[in-house]
Amino acid sequence: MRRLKQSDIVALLTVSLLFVVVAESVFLVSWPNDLHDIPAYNNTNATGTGVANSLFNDYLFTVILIGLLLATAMVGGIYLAKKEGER
Amino acid sequence: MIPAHYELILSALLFCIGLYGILTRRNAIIVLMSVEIILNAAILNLVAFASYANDPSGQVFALLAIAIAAGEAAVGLAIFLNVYATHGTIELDKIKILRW
Repeated sequence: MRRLKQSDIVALLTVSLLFVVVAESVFLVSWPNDLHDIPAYNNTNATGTGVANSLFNDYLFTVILIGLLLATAMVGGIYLAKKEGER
Repeated sequence: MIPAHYELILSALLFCIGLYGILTRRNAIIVLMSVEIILNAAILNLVAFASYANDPSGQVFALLAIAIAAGEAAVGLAIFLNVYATHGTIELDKIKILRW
């Protein structure tokens, strides 16, 4: 167990204060409490509500962008992780 | 049936744990883990409100956010590998220069 420094205690107090404020404000709002089951894929019609329907109809371009981002991250990660002499 | 408060409180707790980790820890890998905890808190909120609002967009955003978190972790770990090679440490308060 690490000994707490003074700055750690200040951070702990600040973060707990933030948590108390957030929890208070969460309890002050009356949230909806009727849960719905969202199916992974809805094959009844083309515009059904399902995660896969939404992913590949409404957010198709976003999925392509995320794919590009992941490919770029992979190339960049490999480039950065290579040793200096191998470049 | 779980009231929405529970998910929101859990999410706020995860956010605060991550924030505390970022503020107090000096090891870069632990800071990266704390960032991931904060991202997961946001994703939990997205999923919770997707179920309560009966809208799959929230779960789609959660999937995309998980993909972005994976990319961030990959690039971050590669950067820390480089920092360790040039500085010999990944203690964040001992790293003073960005270019070697």
